[in-house]
Amino acid sequence: MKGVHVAVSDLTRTFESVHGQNPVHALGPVSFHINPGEFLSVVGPSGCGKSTLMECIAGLTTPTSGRIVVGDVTVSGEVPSGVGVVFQENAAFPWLTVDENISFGLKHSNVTLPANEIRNRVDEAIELIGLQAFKSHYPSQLSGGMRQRVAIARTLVTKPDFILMDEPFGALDPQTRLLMGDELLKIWRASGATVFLITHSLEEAVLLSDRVLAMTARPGKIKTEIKTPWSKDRTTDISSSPQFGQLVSELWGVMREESKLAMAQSERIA
Amino acid sequence: MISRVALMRIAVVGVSILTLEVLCRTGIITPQVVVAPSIMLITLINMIFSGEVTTNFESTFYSALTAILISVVLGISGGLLLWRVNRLRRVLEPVLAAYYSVPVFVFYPILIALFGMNNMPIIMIGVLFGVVSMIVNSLNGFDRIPLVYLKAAQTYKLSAWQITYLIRIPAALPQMMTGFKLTVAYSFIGVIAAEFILSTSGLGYAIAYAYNNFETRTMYALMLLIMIVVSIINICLMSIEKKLLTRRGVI
Repeated sequence: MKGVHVAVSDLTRTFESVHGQNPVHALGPVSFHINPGEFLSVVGPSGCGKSTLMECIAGLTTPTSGRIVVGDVTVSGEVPSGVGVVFQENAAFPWLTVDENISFGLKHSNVTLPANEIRNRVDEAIELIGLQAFKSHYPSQLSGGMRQRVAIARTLVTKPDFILMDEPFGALDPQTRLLMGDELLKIWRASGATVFLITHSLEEAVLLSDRVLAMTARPGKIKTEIKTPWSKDRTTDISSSPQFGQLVSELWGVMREESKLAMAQSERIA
Repeated sequence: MISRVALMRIAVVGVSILTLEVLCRTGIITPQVVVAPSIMLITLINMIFSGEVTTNFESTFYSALTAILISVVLGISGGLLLWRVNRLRRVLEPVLAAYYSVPVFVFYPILIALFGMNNMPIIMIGVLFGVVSMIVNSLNGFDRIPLVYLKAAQTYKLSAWQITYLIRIPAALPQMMTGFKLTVAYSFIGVIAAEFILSTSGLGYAIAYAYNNFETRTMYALMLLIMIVVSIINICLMSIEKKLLTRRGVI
């Protein structure tokens, strides 16, 4: 792919008033781009419109103004092809087994794949997330971390070249988060996909990404951009390097004020 | 292992049956009023083996199953329609909520006028009894589908029809199952009650016939049959429901 993979220009999103309240200007204007194969994270205080930003890029929400181009398609009203989304909440379908959840997207896509191709891809994905022994389990029988791995595998089997993740490890404990981070880096390297990750953990963002965008409190704009010096075959071991600590505190220095602002905003609502 | 409470429950039923047996056998309750449970059972077994009940049994089951089937199809599609068309829902919701306070049974003459003296009015009474529970519970189920499932569906580019049968209906299944259990019970009540008064076949008709001819034994045997069959159906439905809910992690 030439040049940029994803280009976001002057994106804003305003939520219309409900029951006579003032309309909420949630996001923007923001402009940025993502290079092909890049791992980009977005951090920001709660309520800054990170999830809205992701939903706009994924075509799940229509922006109020601005333009999003993914590959060579302008996003409007539907999810562009080659895009996979991992949601914040537990999105694994509880009525399907692990195996059925992972094969769901392949079985029901408009491109019909031969049965053995589906089988191979699903087996590969299950092996990747290490849930071979839980193939015929239902999500309710799995731990939170396993469930989230299913959600990730379900997205990966469709072989997206652009993966959007909204706080995918939010519900996990810090140790599992680190392990999952390593998994994600492995997957990213193996697939060559472009990754857009939303997280509220500054450490996670610095650890995993090539580049981190820090957002302001609502309405979310891009406050700063930090490039990390990590090589492509990094692991979460870099968290012990002095550079890591330096980058995290640099990021926190920028974010502190915005987080305070966001806290004040939420207190005003409450 | 059966729990203590379950054992107690079985004991209560057993003791009640035994008491009735004793009261009947000692003549405290006369056979004109109630026959002994053992006689009910023996009469029923004889009737089953002589083939006496077969036609009526089939007729009732045919009517009830048809009523249930129609209720389920109408109920789910009705639920979907109301869920989709919010204005219609706002108009109809109070009517649905008050529905079971109306004795719909009184409409049977209209149904006869519409469908004639065959089993259609009976099936329709079964539907009238059963369908609303299916509508209300499907609607409730559709309301509770987490938004994230539908967002995921969008990323898979499913068509509206695929979203309905691949996501909405399976996601709403636990609530639908609650509705279905009630629908089965209500449809049976409707069908059997209708057979009492407007039929020349079916278990309801046979009970009324035996009653009018002072065939107390036959009457109680048929009642027992209905109780047994409905209990078996309920046990099956409950075990299916339990499996479903366990799988979803609800219980």
